[in-house]
Amino acid sequence: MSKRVFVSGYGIVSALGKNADENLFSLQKQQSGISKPSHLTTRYKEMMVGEVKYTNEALTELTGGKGILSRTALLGFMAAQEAINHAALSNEQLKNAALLNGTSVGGMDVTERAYSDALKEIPIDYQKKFNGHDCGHSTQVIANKIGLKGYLGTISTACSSSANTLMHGARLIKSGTTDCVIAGGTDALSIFTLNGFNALKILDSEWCKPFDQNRKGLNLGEGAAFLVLESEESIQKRGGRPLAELAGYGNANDAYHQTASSPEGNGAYKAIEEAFRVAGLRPETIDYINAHGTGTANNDQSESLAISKTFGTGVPPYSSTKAFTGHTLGAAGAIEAVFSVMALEHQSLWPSLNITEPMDLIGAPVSDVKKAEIKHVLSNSFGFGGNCSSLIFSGV
Amino acid sequence: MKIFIKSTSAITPQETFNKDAYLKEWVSHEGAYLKAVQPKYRDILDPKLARRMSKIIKMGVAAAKSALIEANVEIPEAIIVGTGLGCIDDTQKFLKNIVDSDEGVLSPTAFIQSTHNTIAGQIALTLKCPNYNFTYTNRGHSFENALMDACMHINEGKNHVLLGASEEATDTSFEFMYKMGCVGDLTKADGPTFGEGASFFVLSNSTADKKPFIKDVQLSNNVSQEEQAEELQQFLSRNSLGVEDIDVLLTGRIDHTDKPHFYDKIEEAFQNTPKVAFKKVSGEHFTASGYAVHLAAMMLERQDYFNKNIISGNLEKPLKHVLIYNNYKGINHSLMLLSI
Repeated sequence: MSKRVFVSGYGIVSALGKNADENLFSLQKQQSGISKPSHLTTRYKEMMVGEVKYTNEALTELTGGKGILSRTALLGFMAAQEAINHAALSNEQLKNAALLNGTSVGGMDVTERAYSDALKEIPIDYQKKFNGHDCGHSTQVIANKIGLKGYLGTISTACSSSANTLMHGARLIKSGTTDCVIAGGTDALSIFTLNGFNALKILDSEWCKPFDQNRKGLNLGEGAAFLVLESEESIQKRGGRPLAELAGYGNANDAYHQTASSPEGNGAYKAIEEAFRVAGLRPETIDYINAHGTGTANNDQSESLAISKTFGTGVPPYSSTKAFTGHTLGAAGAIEAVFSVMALEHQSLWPSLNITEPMDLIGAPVSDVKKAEIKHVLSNSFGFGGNCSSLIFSGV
Repeated sequence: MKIFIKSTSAITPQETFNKDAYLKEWVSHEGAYLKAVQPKYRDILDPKLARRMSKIIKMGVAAAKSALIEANVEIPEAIIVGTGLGCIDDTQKFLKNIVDSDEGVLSPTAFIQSTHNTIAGQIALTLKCPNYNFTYTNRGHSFENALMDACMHINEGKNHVLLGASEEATDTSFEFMYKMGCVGDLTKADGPTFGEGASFFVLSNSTADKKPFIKDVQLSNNVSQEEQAEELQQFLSRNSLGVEDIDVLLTGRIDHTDKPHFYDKIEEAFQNTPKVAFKKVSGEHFTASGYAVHLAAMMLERQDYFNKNIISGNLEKPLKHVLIYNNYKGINHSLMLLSI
């Protein structure tokens, strides 16, 4: 397990923009992408969401993804394509590369409309409408469009799905199974998840404010991000450029409740601890934490306690970027992995937005974009089912 | 590679959960699809918890617990589950609530339990297991993804890994799968028979008793039948085995399958080898191959084929190598080799 795993490219689409440059620009300008929905057809027209600002037709045009029905697959294809171009992988390398995709609801955006039609006895083409329902479908579509022939994997562990694809990708490389992995995730907004989180009463209808005393809940978002992971040898051999090292990763289970986090953040603490063990780093080396920070009362409290337990009095600058993008569920881990790599590349701390009265457990989060010396970034992603994952990215 | 199967438990449309009665009496099915024989859950699950669990969760947790008890393992070092459609019953319930109420005031229960990782999550919750917990949902390779990860964990040095697959069939999911042309109606015999079930395993890097082990796994996607036949030859040769060394072929062939030529091509190479049609037990579903691994392990451990309904050809004992070949719609192909 001595092999090192590097990030050699990434692609991202979120409410902040359709590519890495646009996302970076918005982060640097502190402009949130969250607004009232304009593409999602829902009764909750006033509910703030982090929507990608393109229709499916426009996304099809932008990607050349003709014939892709699901927005989840379209967004995933878009980000994976950008990642491959960014890493400048050749067709030969692509042939053997593995693709790991994380998604929480897959093709639900198409299913929910077709299912409504079916219940109302409106004639529909079942094969066409429901073929993309399962999570593995988007993975298959992305692989086919890009021409991948290697190992395909799909992980669905709710909101930590794509953090887990990165972890799995790193382990695939370390085990020698493959030397190049395209790992990330994608999730489109759907009325299924919007109504689900609404029923759980953890949505803020206004702009979410993670780590604020008066936080009311999360804003849902959508998007996709993929990162190209490579072994040191693979990058050297092809003359690629390492952007960061995926130095550590950990996954643990809170084993407390199906949806809520344990008050003390036990699972989160264990995941962070494991990431440090794998990276061979100590907590004091971390210069920035990109927290899960959804903006719900439960998550931010529990995560703060896990951070406090890990770092004691030396909590490094931390923030949640979910007030920029919304909570993009299965895509969140990969989107925030890209933001973590960008923090290393640009030596910048990204802020938590909308804070008026910060929580007092671990000091205030970063409130403005700030230049800082950043060598190691910790990124957290937690999900339903007690699923807790942490990744550590290091500068190169 | 030697990944030992310390124990295994399966719930299927035949009697498999009770190992004393394993496939002894053939259960006939009258409906449009194969429903799993449900065990007496109160013997293995807390009735209070079981009442709130959907069928896929109950089958998953019960098979998982049963495998852990048999292996005498309380807390596995990892829990890894594969499921193709996940908690489809709760998904459908919540969707219907949304449509019926036109996005009205909803109870979150079905939504909470619709998440794919509810199975692995509930196992962790039941065991109070804080360790690694992953769920794979990758069409015809959902179980295989989980299996590859589990093997990697054992190779990384973990000792006890809980691996499994769970899939539920409901009247609604059958209706949709049928209208999509994915499965047939058993009463009309117009396509592959839809089924359901759960198979769980405790994997280990070592074992005191003689236990079956997973020797190799090879997955491929979008290949031609010639390429798949080539994969088979490479697979056998990298394991220093010839066709004649395979004592039995477990084939995913099922009546009215829509891509029979892939099975024709593979079975052609094994003309004189006895073949077991494992989907006669499990039916067709995304993680039917999980049951194939369970059955292969059972056959190797018991040196038996259990029921003449599933086998063709003459099985000669002792059984040493069992090969599984399965494909999903001619897209996701799996070769899995188990030995003892």
